[in-house]
Amino acid sequence: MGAREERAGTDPEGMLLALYDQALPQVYGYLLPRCGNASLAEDLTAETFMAAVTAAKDQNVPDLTVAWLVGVARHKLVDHWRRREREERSLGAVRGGRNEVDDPWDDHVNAEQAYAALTRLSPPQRAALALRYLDGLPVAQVAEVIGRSVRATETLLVRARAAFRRAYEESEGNGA
Amino acid sequence: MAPDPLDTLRLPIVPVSPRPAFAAELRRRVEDELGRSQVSEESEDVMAVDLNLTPSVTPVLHYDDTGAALRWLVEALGMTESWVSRAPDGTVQHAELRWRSGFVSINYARGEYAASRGASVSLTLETEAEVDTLHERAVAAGARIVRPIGESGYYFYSFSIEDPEGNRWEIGTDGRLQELREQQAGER
Repeated sequence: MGAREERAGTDPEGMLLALYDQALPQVYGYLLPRCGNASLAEDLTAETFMAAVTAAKDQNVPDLTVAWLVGVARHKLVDHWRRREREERSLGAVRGGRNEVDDPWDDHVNAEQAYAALTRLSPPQRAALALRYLDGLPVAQVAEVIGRSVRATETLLVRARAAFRRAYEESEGNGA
Repeated sequence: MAPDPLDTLRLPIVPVSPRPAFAAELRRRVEDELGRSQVSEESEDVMAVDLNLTPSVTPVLHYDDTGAALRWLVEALGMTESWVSRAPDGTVQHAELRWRSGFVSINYARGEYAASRGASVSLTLETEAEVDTLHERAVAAGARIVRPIGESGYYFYSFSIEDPEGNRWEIGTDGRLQELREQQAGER
């Protein structure tokens, strides 16, 4: 009995189970507002924990904490946006790529309208902006998560900001 | 450098509990994948051996979140999970926790138990005839019948009454024990 309890405290598999109740609302709470719908947030939450199980079984977890699990969730979210991107490409959808100006604006940004505008961007642009601004990651870390070079990420962010601004202003123009 | 207006979009993590059924199902998947579910199968075998030690009076506690209650009792009090019955969605419907020579049962406060709160007592009888006899006796004594005699949950044949001050008693045969007895009798 004592032996099993000791083991549960040190092996990643036992720790993952012990962490489950605490980590679940954090992971789901991270994903829900970023996905904007509960069923997708549930799918990605499940993917996150099942990936954590695999990593724990392979003894491949650097530091089993809630923060690490949220990091896994972030990757799952980016993977999801990547899948969306491929789907949209195969459907021949073309978005963005128009005049890429990045004028600094000094107006106050309405958060709700901004989150709505984000959902209308192409998946890579949305992912870059979400990681940079919603999660507050530095550019180098955004680059790491989305698997692009820092330079490419900077370019993506510039374009994404321009596209975001158009989407945001369109919604304003619509009297939103 | 001018402050970036987009910096106001920071979205700190606010913990949100997902649907309980989802949380329970995912926990079950995680446990299955980690091979932890074998632990409860082992303890069910232990139970079968200790058939004669199974108490015939058990306190029953009702909870909205039986899964969380189960884990709490294990973590906070060191009780041992001895038997868990789950709905197809993974929700814990009923569970037994062992404490030395005794047990406490926990029940999902839903369906026929929706109004149940706090504790009730479960009396286990061996045969349906015994259940009928005790039912007649309780009715004659003026017990308020909460659930008429019949099949219910893990009791094969049972009824439920309230005593004069509103404490609830569940009285019946234990279907699982009956199965185990028949199984053991068959093996002999």
